[in-house]
Amino acid sequence: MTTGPGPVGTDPVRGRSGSVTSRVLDLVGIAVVSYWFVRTGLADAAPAWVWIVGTVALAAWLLRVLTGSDRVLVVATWGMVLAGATVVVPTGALMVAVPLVGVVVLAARRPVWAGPVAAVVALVLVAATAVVAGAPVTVVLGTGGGLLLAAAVGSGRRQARIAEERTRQAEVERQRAELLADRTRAAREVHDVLAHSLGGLVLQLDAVEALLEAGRVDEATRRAGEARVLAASGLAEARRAVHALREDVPAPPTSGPAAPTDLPALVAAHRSFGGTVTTHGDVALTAVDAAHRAAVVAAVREALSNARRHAAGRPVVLSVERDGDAVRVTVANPLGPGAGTPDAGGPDPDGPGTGLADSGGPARTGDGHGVVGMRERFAELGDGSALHAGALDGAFVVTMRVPGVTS
Amino acid sequence: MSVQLLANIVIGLALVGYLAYRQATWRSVDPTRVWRAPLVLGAVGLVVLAQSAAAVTTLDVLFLGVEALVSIGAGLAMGAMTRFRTAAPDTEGRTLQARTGWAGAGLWVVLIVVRIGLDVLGGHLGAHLLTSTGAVLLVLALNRAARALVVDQRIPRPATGMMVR
Repeated sequence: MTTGPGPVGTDPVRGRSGSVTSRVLDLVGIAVVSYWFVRTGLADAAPAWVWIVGTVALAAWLLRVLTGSDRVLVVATWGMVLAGATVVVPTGALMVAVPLVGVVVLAARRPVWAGPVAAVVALVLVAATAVVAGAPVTVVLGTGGGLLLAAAVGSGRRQARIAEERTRQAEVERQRAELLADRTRAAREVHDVLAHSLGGLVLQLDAVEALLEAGRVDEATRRAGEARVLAASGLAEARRAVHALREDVPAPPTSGPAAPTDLPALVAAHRSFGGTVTTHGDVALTAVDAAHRAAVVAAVREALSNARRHAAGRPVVLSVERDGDAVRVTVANPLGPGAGTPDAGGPDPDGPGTGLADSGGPARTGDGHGVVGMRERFAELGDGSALHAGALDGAFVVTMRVPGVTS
Repeated sequence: MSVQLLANIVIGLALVGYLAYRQATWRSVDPTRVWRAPLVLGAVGLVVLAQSAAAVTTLDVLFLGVEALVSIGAGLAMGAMTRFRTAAPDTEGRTLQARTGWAGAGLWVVLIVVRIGLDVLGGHLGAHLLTSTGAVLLVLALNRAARALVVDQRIPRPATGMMVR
């Protein structure tokens, strides 16, 4: 063939398997069959009806190749089958190509039964003309075999097209799932940043209010300054998160006060909010690589933020322990008044929102997204890292386990 | 009317009566088995036809072809008429039931009348293959296959979670 690979074969829009190559093949077939039809017709002095029906069959074939309309295509193809099959015997089986092509086309389309029915109709027509002309039964049986084969080829094409369609749908589904995963990631980033800084801000402003009511203006001014620093750092953090979501790369350091990105800074921030925290072990996390350290820091930040919201004023214990090849980080705080009571001491350490349910109050506006996000972040690491959060013996405990760097 | 033709008519009538009854009542269907009956019938029909070793004429092919068309047409119509419902699991745990209804049973009667007519006409014209048992089974197999083709596509699949009525 002189044409390049047809661009239409995989075109989802046109929905028919008419590539440029197969069109050219069709046209060549029409030309060859027409030539031999005229030549043998003249030589054998064929009767007028054979000329007419044969011409109709060839015209239907041409119409099928050239038409863009689906309805015309179906009518033309049935014309090929009916007219073509009628002149198979009178033309010495020359015209058998026309009904064969017609059956292949019909079998490759819906409805499923069209191909087999067309094949049987063509066979009946061939047998009827053979009876009238007294042709040998071998012609009829041979044509029948060919028609059967054509129906099989056509339905094979249909199956291939269906398989292609399914593959395309699966690809669309996969892209959708990817999009949803991206959205989940974005939601988690936004939660991490905003819950931390806005939650801290609310606490600071509560304190400012209380100090002002008590007439301690100096302390209130100092608190307000800290609140401003926290707000600025939250803003910088939010900018960084948005940048990371847009670019999908770690953001460059932004101007403004940096948000705490390691455990000592988080501990210091917690203390500056008036919290009490005791640390044990290597808080600098030197035995953990950067990716795991980021996950641990995010989770600890969330845990400290939750402790401030739900158990304000209670002492928090942060410990880092080496556990064989792994490193275990634990954040524990006694349950605050009312906080976690539905689950306190309950055997459900993994229930989403356990101990984090809303318990009223202006600063208590959590709905468990934090725990879900923490767990997802650890699951995404995909190397056995795990996070458990839940109430245990009157305390809310968050335990993280990450692989340590083997030296 | 030959004895064999008479016997065929009796056997055919009995078979069609049984099938018509089955079609009019609710029957459990197994989606994986809708093709079993047509395949078995077709295979047996082909074997019996080959054993008869009669010379095939163009007239035989013509009449068989016409009968096949009528049979396939009736099968497609029956498939389209089939209704489905879910019921309590039967002894084999099948919950899906189907029936074609009395219109489908009526189609059987039409089919058998056309068949007898073609038998008589073909016998007069010399198409003897038509009246053989193998041909009867083959035509029946085509009917079942056409119905299975439509039913197979219309069966309510658990994956879609919908009842098709």
